[in-house]
Amino acid sequence: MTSSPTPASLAGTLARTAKGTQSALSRAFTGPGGVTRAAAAAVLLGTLSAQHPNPLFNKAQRVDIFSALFPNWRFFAPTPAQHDYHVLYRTLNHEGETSSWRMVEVIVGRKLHQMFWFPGRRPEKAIFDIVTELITQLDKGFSAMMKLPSYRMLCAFLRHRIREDGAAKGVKGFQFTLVRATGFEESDPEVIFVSPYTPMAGPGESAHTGGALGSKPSYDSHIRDDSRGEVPVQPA
Amino acid sequence: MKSLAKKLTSTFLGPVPISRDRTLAISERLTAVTSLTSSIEYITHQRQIRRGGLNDWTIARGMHASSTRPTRRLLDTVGHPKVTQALHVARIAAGAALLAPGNARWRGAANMFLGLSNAALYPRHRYGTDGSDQVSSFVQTAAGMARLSTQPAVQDALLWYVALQANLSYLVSGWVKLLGQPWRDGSALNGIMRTRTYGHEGMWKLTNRYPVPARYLAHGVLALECLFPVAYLKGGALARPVMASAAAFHVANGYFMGLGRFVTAFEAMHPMVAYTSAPKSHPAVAGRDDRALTATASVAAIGITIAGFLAAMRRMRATDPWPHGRVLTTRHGNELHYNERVSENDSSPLLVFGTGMISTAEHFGWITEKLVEESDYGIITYSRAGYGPSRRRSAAPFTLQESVDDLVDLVNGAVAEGRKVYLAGHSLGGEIARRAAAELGGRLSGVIYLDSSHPEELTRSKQQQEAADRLKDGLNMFTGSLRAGMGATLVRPRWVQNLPAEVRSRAFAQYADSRLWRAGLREWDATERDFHQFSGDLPSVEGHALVLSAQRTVDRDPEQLLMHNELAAAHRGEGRVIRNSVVEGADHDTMLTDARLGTDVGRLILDFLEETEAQDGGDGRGGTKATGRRGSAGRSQGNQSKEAR
Repeated sequence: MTSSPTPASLAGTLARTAKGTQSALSRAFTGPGGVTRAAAAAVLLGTLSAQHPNPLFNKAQRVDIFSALFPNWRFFAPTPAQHDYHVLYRTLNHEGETSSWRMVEVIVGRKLHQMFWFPGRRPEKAIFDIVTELITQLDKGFSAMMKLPSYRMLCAFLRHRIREDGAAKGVKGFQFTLVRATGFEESDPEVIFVSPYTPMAGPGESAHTGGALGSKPSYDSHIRDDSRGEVPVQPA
Repeated sequence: MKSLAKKLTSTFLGPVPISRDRTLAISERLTAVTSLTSSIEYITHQRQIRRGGLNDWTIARGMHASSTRPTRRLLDTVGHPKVTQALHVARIAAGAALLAPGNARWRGAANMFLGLSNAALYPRHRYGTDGSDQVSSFVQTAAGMARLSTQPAVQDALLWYVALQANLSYLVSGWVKLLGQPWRDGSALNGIMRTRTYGHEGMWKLTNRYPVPARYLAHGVLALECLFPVAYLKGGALARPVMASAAAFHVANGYFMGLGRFVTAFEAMHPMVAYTSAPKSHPAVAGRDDRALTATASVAAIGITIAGFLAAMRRMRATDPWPHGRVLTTRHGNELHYNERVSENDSSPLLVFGTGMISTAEHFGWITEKLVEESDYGIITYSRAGYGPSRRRSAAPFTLQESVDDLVDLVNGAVAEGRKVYLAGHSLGGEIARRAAAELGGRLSGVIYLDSSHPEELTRSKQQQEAADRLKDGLNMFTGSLRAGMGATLVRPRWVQNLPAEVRSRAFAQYADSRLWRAGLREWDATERDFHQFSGDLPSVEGHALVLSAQRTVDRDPEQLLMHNELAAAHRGEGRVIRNSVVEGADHDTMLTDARLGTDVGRLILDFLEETEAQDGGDGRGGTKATGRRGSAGRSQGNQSKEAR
């Protein structure tokens, strides 16, 4: 019982193991459901490959424009959202007068019923998404940012908002700012971005003023194909 | 007493064996609730998809410019407000129908419709979508396929797929959280709860009042996520407590964070976890096909092998010497590979280009192309020790002086005596050139600083200080990931695409190889030590100077412009030409990698050299021979630009 295995018996065991492995492998991909198993395994591997905290390593996610194949499982990781983002704007009228800053109120605050019914979650998260996206592009400069759909979306949203508030009379343009605040914790909000003057005449509404903001909606720019911060900021 | 203990154990421990049909039945109903809620919410609040909304399709479609035409057509169709609305109405009908009792085949089609329409609508509602949408899409598609299939093996493959995704979701979420400081120190819960978007005022106050329990709670969540697969151990002995804790976690998130849709979305994966974690001996799961595990393990092994193979190929490409390159061994034993443009006019000045940290010699592609096309100047580009084909052989601890010595040796070894030399350096390469210039003394005609570093930048520039803190973490993560073979998942960055076509693959191979990052990390540590020791004024440097700043660098931090002016001022002296210029529209990297900006920089260098050569040549205007620059008509025969890069 205690005798050590002879080389011959060892080789036999190895051969049997190899054969066993081989047949297990071939069984995994053949027979009923073989294709399904292979496809499912490939998608799982793709999902795993798209979980790197640095988005530069997520080649797979760029292909998945419907977000159906490779879900992003990094919820609140590695660094959770610990701030609220707010958008504030002020307007300029034809007389050259500037209004005071006004905040776009989208955050509604927590209520019990939101567990079952919370349509306000979508616009709340939308502002959060847009601002987060713009923050990653801050170092690209105004001209690059203005071409982003998220930036143009926000401008169009604000134009609409100003008109809806009935404050559009005599207004020729506006300026907005993105602010980060600590929510219930009282502290001074931090200004992350201040936009340049933006005309009220939006795309496709009138003889526009030209420039990036006046351009027609088109396929000229897109965020999926950009290279957000290819290399970490290089101080040296 | 004994029986009570037994009762408790059987209530709280053990597997949750449910049959295949029951798994599908529970899962599809839970996920139908998610879709139903979501679509009713959308349809009653359509403001955001109209003009002026946060998902105005006329603007959002711009994100998909690079998609194929059929995809864009599909997206545009779904993007039409009427179609979006119709899809949601149909989804509400399908979702409600699925809640009805029964096990009919049509449920498969309804599930498939919910899953696929959800995916199709994802780009439509891009801003504001969340994890619950992603989960619903694939759970419904997989459940639908399982319902439509008549083969138990196919159904089991799909149920295993959902179960493995569920495991992955908790695992990834947990382990990636461990990389973040707020999760490690337990402050994350307080940080999230204080926000109005995802927080809860009452809970936030509680976490303030009881910080220790709050920390335990945050770490408990981490432990649950990181250890979720223990549900599969010992015949699912822990499946019940693990799934119950996860369910409690989702309900708590629903209540405190306003993530109600996540409850049903994630719980819809749990029946699959219950089904796959129950022991096969149990009658409810008898005959379960577990081959999906072998298949997944095999595909993972194949994937890892391919990633390793690609990494090896990239390493070979990254360290491949230039076809006509040369090698020089420096006093430190380092092997420097360099690429020289052999000019027909060997009396013309020669420029030696030094790269910045974590850059490639290929970064100079556009500049050298411009110089080759419009001048006879000699050009040397080289890889510092540890970069590209160059090897660092020195065993001594690395200091910046080693790189300076290497550069001095390169100039002395590779450039014929008596030939005029200009050093050009980008970023850290500029600082190395400045120091080498002092040692080269009379051999040197001038220095060209390309958005150069300054030894005081880490103490004087707030922007650089902040960047420095982030840089080290980023570098470590990048290096580690590449060493682990993850280069295969790296997105090809835009700067690589912007380089001249013939150098792109070489530049990308270096960028996606850990060697470049390890060299960068070593240089960064040395630079940080070195720069913090620096004090006082810059010593005077002989020779002319051209100082080019990138507009974005100086816009973001005016102190940088002052420091660049100091670099220029260090060259002041009789008969010296000193030029400063800001390259408009350029940032630190695009001033090299962008075709137009790189060419602009090349032109500025040519103008500068023309001026300095005219000055050094006295009033003789030594003609083209002395200046090395050709008229725009004078194209070089046998353009050797490829070699010069």
